[in-house]
Amino acid sequence: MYKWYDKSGRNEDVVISSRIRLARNLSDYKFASRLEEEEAVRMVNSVVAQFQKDYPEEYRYIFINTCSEAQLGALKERRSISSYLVKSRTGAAILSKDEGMSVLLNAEDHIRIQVLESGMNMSECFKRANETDDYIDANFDYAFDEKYGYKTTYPTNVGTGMKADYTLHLPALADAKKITQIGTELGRFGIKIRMIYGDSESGYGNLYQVSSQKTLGQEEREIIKDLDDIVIQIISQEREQRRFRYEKDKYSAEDMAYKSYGVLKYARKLSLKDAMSLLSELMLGISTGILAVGNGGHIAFNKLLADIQPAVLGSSVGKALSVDETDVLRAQYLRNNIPDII
Amino acid sequence: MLCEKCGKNTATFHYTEVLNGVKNEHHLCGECAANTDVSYYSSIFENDVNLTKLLSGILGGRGVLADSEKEDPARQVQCPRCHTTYGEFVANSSFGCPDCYEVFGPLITDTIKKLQGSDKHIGKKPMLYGRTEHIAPDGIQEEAQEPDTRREIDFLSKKLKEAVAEEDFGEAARLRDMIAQIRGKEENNV
Repeated sequence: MYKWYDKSGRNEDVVISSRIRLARNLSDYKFASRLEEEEAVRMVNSVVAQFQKDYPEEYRYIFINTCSEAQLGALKERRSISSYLVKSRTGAAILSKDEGMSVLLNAEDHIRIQVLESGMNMSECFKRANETDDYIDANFDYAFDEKYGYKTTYPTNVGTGMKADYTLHLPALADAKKITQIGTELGRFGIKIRMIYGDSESGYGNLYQVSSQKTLGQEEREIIKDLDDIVIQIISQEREQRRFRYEKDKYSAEDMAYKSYGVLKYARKLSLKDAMSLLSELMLGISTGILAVGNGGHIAFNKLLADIQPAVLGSSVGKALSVDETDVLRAQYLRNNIPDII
Repeated sequence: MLCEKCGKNTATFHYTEVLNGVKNEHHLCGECAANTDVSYYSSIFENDVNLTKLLSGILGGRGVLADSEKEDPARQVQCPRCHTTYGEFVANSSFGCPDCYEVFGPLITDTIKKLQGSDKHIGKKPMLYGRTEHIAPDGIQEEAQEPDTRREIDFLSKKLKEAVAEEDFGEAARLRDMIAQIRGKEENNV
């Protein structure tokens, strides 16, 4: 079965993934933070039972209190569930077989629908999340207010209850120290950018999350359009910066690309931080055209990024690993999974 | 420098976050840092946390909650369903139940407006509140976003039965008309 991260997407030289999240609550229950355990179990079971009745084959059902810490860690690193859900003893998740859609139950809100897609594909994310939302709507009563819209635990989600975000790979803009400036500009449009791994001083991987913040006063499609317009500008700035840097110092760019490939292909031990930095350099090398890989030039970076996380590596061999063992396994995984250059 | 969370140990873990163009620096001790998730894949839904901190800053900053103003009537407000008080609502920046919106909503209209630039929802609505036209982004086939009318009628019929059982005839009449309207549209399309 194909997973969401096996697919390729538009503008994937810069856009790693797209995601929609919808926050919903049922009118018959108090919100998650105030819900008694018995009620929480009833709420979660009613939603799970409905899905199981109508879709016996399509989903996997995960109950937080029946999973080991290692299993939850791996699901978290694969982005299927949130760390907030992990802390909810009564929580559960309904996962699609391609792992692209999760319905999280009793995390911050009663229901959180999340859809992930590779590359720039927010409309597909929205379509899928919206269909699931309609399905739940037809079977349960949502808490809704004519003025405020969908009622959510946090006032920052009230209204559409929707957050759209992109994961962007911005090595050239980061290297040119332009991210803070972009952040200031985006703030004016109610859009937020943050580094995904580490902080601005010692971050690694050059991955940034750009997300919509507004949930009131705009329709869903407008929110997505505003975000898309901004992201398209960031993409063109990043591409321009990459070209500029390559033309300015071709030999250094080539050297960096081949070195990263060489280390990823031959290293015997790699920390997460080193692996992420090298993957970032490799991605840059491929998108600049310095390196060409087989398989139609497509590398499933979303898959690589998830597969080298510590809990995912541990679960792949079914046991807890020491830091050293994890680093060895990570290097081995990358040696086997980085395609050959042609 | 002491840890901003526990205030006891020396802060050894520093990170900077850029939120809406504003740089926020955080300083934590090793112990608190281990309990605070700042890594990527673990932070799928964590954006709320920082924004809610921001909200409690704005709400708290309005002065209605200053200790010297204990007499402020807003402080006495409590949600009858979940017993969340206004003080708790501000401190946690979160509602306790759907009814909290009726209780605290009027008190925070201005704040929500400040935070979101608007206090009026204009997006998608649940089916019960009427059909929402064209909410999907451009680039999606029109037909794909047409709600399933069959499902919608089933849903409304279910609601209608409930309303009749509860002898809420005003609601029942409204639902009956909605069903008739959808059926009418359907026939016109044929």
